[in-house]
Amino acid sequence: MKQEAAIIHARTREPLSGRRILMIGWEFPPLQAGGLGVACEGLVRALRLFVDITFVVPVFDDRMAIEGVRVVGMDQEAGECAISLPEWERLEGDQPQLDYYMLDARLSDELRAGFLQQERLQRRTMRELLADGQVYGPHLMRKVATYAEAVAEVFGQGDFDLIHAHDWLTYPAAVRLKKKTGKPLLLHVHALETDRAGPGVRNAIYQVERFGLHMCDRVIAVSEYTRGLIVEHYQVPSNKIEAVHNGIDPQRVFRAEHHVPEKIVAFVGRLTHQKGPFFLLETAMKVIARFPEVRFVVAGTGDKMKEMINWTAYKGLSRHFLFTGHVTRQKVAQLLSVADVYFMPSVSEPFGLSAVEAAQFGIPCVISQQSGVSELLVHALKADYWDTDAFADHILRLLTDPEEHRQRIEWQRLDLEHISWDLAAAGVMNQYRKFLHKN
Amino acid sequence: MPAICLYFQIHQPYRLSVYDFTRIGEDAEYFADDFNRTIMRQMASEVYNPANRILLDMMKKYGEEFRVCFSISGLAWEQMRVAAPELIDSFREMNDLGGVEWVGETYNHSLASLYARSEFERQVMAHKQLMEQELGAVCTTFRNTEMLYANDLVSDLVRMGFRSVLVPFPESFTSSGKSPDHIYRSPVSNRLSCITQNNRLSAELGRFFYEPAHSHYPLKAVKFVQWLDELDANGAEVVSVYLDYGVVSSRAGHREQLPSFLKNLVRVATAHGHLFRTPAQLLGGATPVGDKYDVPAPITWAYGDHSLDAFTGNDLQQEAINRLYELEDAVLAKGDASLLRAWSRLQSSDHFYYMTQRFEERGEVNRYSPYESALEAYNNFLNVLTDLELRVRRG
Repeated sequence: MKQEAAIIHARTREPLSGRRILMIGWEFPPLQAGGLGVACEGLVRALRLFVDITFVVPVFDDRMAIEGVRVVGMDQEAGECAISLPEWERLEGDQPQLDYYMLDARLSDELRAGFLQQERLQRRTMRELLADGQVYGPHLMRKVATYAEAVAEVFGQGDFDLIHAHDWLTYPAAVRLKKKTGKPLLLHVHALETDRAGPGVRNAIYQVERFGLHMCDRVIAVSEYTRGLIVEHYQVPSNKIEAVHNGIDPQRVFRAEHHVPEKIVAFVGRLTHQKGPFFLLETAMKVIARFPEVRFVVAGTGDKMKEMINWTAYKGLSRHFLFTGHVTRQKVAQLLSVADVYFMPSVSEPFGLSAVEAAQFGIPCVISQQSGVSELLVHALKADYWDTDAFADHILRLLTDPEEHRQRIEWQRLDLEHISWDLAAAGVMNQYRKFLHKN
Repeated sequence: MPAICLYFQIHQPYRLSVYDFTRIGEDAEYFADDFNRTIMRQMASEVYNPANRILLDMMKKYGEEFRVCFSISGLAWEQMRVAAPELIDSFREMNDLGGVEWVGETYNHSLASLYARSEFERQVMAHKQLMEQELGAVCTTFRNTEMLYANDLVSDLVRMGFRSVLVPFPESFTSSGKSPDHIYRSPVSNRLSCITQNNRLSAELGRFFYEPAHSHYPLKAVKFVQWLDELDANGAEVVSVYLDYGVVSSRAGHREQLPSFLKNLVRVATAHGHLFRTPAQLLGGATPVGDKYDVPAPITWAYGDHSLDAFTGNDLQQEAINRLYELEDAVLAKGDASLLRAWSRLQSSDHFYYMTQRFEERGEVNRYSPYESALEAYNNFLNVLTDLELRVRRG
């Protein structure tokens, strides 16, 4: 893949070496909860060859060492920060004032007002806020707001050429820094609140996203699918957004014998509404009815796990399922090494890294149309997330037709050749050039 | 003066190891051997051994006047052999003194009577055999797991040689004017007598051990005997107090209070003319009342509602139980002793009790469960069961 990326770079004839990118992140391995950290690391590793990168995180960890990249933790660099509500947090033409930290839907208006007063007076450091060791967890909005203050304080001198910020948690920091330094701002959308909470959501996180997407200079979306959602749900002009697909690191794949006599359909992901857990169950029921020698292995946890397990017990179908609970990467690999089909019925999936990992393991994928990865895994079998009849047909075909199964694996291998971090880096570099080649 | 029928049960399950899904098909080490040994040792040293010493003293001192009933599940007996052999010695000593009537039950402390009648019979007979081999005892009194009972058990129990059965006393009986302090007949057969639990006094005595907040805490023997005397005025013949031997808690203070309480209880009660009797003795003397103990649907000794809810009340429990008993024919046909043993151990009602969601629903903790949640208990059990199914069905 290096070759293909090099061609793209050569075409522009401008290496941008020496240009300084300030990346603002939230997760970074090993401190991560989902795919955001993995994506940031992959991207940084590929980009560091072409630009100088300083990567900002809320909490530093010694293990975050990447050669040639400066990783800066706000828990170490920044002092106490009071949360303020400066006038810039008012989006032109938008009202009311974007009081983002307090727009927690769980708080009543009255509580919110009192809470707000207190919070503004309290000076906090990132270190204190993150003392519980959770980058998410309680008081997330307060963490995000304090992070914004801290980043603006530490990097306010503007010793960089461009700001590149990843997901909503970093947008307030990024926008504030842009205002303070006048540097161009590129926002990178890995996921949207509308994916997680549904298209109708208008909560605090949505407001933060909307604010950032309008205030920045350019947007990178992880897929065309996400690009479309940003236009549709956030009213950002489509020509401001570019889709750059994530890459994936090659991994050691292996096949193992499994012990259960049934065929295995694997699902890996959080068990939340976004991942379509009940479309998974409905599909499973239809598959089981026609092909009983099957077991759905559901790996991951989430707020829908209890309901899912209760449902399988209630239906008397538990023998066709296996809920693994929390899984390590190694256990995911073990599962993929024995799976016959990978199933991802997500309601809205900006990218869908897990399906690419499954493809790496040589497992045919059945995925929802409403996913970024469906643009890359051209040969995966697809259906709209609600179409459980179609999902069931696809899975049954793969389980019962060995030739189809073999063919799909082969074709997916071709798809994988077009997925790499070098390609992703080339796409990002093209966006950098829009701002950096002028000076 | 009413006699006192004091009954203790001892049971410890084989708790499961943390059996991750990746172990399915890989290993059949289902049980947490070290953990189980530790618990048995701890229970023995903190609860069972001290309590046994007191009972032995009482038996030596009062002879004929002080007799109690014990039922010890086969699984508990097995684990005592390994982790607390001194307990077995002290039970043998009680046995030699003639101070105990050994009560029959299912070997595995299972719910088989509800789900697999042939398996139920095998387990009851296995337990009978154990008691005969180990103690030379022939059990003629039966107590089912969790005191689970319904009319349809009677013919099986009679056929297996039982003459009496320890049973719960549901509130509906109280409201229809019945008293627990008599010996009842089953409506199905005149060969079987039903000895009903006195809920109030069982609870009072139980609470003595674990509820310091209770108004009578610490319970005085004089108070307890006063209640017995009051029951006498109402025509009580036998007051049956049924307890888990494990409630004799290890909490600080109890160890000192228990001996003096028990000593005083026996002293004061016998002085008031109450004798400590067992069902076999009672059947010789007392005449069963005309009333029938008619229980068409299963009940248990569960505090309050006498329901099965804590064991079979939710879908998780029923699904796990169904899958377990669906293996019966295959596991028997396979004839593999280790698979059969594992299947039997999985039948302990404890495993299903860990899956009850009633505590979580009330924001409480299931303090008998080694798991964080009902779901975790269910998942772990199902992983083990999936492996067992594989091995049983493998050609």
